[in-house]
Amino acid sequence: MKCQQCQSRSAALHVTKTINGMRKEIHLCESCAMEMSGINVKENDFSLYKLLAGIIKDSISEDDFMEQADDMVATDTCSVCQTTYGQFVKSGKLGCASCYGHFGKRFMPSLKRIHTATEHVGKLPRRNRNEVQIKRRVTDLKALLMRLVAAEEYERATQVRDEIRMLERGGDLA
Amino acid sequence: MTYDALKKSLWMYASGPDDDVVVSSRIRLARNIAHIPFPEAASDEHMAQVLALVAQAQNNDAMQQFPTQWLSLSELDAVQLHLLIEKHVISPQLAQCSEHSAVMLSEDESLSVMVNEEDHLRMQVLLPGLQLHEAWRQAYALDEALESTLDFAFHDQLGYLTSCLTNVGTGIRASVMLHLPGLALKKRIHDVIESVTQIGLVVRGLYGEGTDAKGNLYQVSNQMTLGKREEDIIDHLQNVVRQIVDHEKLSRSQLIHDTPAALADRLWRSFGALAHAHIMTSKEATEKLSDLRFGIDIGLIDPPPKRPMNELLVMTQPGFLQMQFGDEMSPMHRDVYRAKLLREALADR
Ligand SMILES: [Zn+2]
Ligand SMILES: [Zn+2]
Repeated sequence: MKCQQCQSRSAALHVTKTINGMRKEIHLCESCAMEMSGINVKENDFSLYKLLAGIIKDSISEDDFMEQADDMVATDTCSVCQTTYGQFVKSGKLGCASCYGHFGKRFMPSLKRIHTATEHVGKLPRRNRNEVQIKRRVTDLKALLMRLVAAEEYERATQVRDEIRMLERGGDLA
Repeated sequence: MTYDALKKSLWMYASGPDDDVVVSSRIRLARNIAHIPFPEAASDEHMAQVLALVAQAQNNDAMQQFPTQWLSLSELDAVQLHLLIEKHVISPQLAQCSEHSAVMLSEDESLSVMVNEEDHLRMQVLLPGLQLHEAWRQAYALDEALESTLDFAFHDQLGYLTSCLTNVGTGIRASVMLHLPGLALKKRIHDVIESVTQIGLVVRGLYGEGTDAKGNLYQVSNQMTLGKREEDIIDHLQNVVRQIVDHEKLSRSQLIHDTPAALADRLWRSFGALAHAHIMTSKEATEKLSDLRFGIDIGLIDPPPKRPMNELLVMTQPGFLQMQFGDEMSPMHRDVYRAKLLREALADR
């Protein structure tokens, strides 16, 4: 794949982000990514490029339910409760929490039609309230970081990066 | 287990804000216990496991602020189940799978937790008048208390997982029961329903279907449960209800101002029928009780009967009549007993 910026070198940085249900993809080569970030890796202790690449990668694999569903072989039967997709369509009822993983990709359009949204923003369970709040905050910060880098606001980007690192190393919300 | 099914629930006798239009407010939360199949796919053992876990949670420290009685539905008879449904304490669906289901009930019955309905837990707070925020405050605290020893199925992106996609996320259904005789008489009810439906709310008649609701009682509730905070869902419903209340009150004052004799004639005729008839079908009672409620709420029928309107509404339902007047009852007998109960209630003013 070619770099979006120079259209010549091959892209090394691949960023996929689902924002409001729209998938946005960014592909940059190493030198364009560095140029855009304005930071020379060799001269600086930190690399915004590497940072971006690392951060964005886990945000996709961890947080994006659609991505998770993508990885699954399209199954007709939930391996946990044995409910079939046909049964679900007929009764409108899922058999267990794992059905969401098994059939999620297929029912996601209806879910979006029903609720006009696909992301829970309400009450969190006591047990992992802090953990989920931190995840939500990190997701927001990563999106902010992308915008700041795109807008070439490196000073703030660095602060945001540090906050993401702090949270990912087990820090608490301020 | 002793349970007096004839006991009145809080919403049936207590008053509440704006209760001349808003009969009751309800918050219901759907939850499932992690790692156990939902009731739809659960085995008898799974259902028993859920019952045991919830029964255990009933006695945890945090639940001491919500003292409740545990009713196993398998130990109640059909009439008792019918009464619980008529009091809106349990759903008809829960009664259908009575073998493995239970309900936890607070002393005043304003708070209930159905176990093994469509989801493992359906918590409900039901209060008189317009009290959605108070109901949410209590439901939130109840959820927290149960969660202190129960682990609920939750997904970081999709929120609380439920058997039906229509409940996923917050699992919240906020609803109000409205009495709208003014809008019905002014033939504006259809417009109201149509506009409310367009903004993400669901309207249904409590008795009968659609715009032809018997007794002018309508339930309005949120449709979407995902992508919004509970407080925002409730605020939205509350704001719409406020507007419906204003429209209803406007229609009422127009009727009083424009056609006072026709209105008084209609409402007092209904009073007469309720006070003197000897056979009263369920349909007729529902309609006439709406007129009576209307007459009382606008101060026309004064003094009102001592028994509250919500109580009369529930007490004249088939299950209650059967319980009060004897086990075996044909529909004809029921109509005779209903008329007797209403005559006595209306004589007592
Ligand atoms: Zn390039
Ligand atoms: Zn399943």
